[in-house]
Amino acid sequence: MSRTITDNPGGWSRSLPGHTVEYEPSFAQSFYYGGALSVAAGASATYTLSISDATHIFFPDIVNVTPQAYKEFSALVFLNDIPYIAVSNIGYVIIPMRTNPSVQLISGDHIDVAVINLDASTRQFLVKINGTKIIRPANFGHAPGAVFISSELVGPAPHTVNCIDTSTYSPTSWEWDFRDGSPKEYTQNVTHIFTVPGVYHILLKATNLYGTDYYSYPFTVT
Amino acid sequence: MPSRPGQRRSILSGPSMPSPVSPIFLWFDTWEISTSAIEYWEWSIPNDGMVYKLCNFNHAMIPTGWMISAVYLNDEIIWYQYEAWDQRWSPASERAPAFAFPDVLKVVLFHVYDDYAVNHYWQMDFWREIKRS
Repeated sequence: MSRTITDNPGGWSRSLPGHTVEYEPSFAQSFYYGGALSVAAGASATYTLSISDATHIFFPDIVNVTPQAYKEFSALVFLNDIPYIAVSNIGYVIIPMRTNPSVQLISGDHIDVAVINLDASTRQFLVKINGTKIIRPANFGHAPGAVFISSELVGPAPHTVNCIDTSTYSPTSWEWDFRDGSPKEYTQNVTHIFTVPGVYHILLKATNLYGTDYYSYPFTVT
Repeated sequence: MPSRPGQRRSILSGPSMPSPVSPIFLWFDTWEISTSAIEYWEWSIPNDGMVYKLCNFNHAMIPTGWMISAVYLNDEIIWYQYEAWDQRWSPASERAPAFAFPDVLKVVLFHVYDDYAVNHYWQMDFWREIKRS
């Protein structure tokens, strides 16, 4: 699949958490990637953009899918295999990505655009992704996405719960707040006993070199 | 790098601005249906000290057709659309509605066909910031 890159020095900058960026045209560059898909009737095909440039942060602005015939189709966008949006239309779709400041792609990330041809004939589709990129600071990377799982969500006192950390982007430290007055714990996975009935929102704070994220879930002790 | 002649040069200081937390946070589901019906999903915003800002709600139907969807915040309607093909609500980041514990969001979908088997897909995307009291 062919890809073209058009750099535009007249781009514009983005703000980054914890960083000072200079707001001038020469700081940021626009990028454009595109390709054509041939999709059989009732089938799907995927355009993948893999980021290999380690020197920039990529902010996708628009994903555009245009069929070369005025026919029905669906498109699904995935960011690092996480579903981001699904659309169905006839003429074309323009999907705004810039509304989410957390959509920041760096080396190793990828964006997939899957196109489903709902027409009765094989059709061609053009997929275009454009946005801006800025120079990646040396200490910039993905902060964790904190999350944990547990199977002991409800139970009578004394209630023992096991929480297993499943955070993304490799946290290096963890802080568990059980919110029952007991001390915080700092291991990756924890076991805790609630002795008094109530609803406790266990809070996980996960941290890596690039940032911190929080996640909580309610546990009911009867 | 030098500025262009006449170009206003200014500095944006990161810590003074909202700090998006990556990765993106999402809430979504699918609904396979072949007769007219109403379905809804509820989500209580977690008690995690974060503010959830909505940057995208979309509703698609495969195959396509007319659709109705609505979004409620604490049982009050905040968004509604009746339209064919795909439905999207993508507020600009500076206008994004923000939610925090103990808010409750509800998504309501209406399937308006009695003899049309489809798969509805809806999704909400958020970014999160640490709540400032």
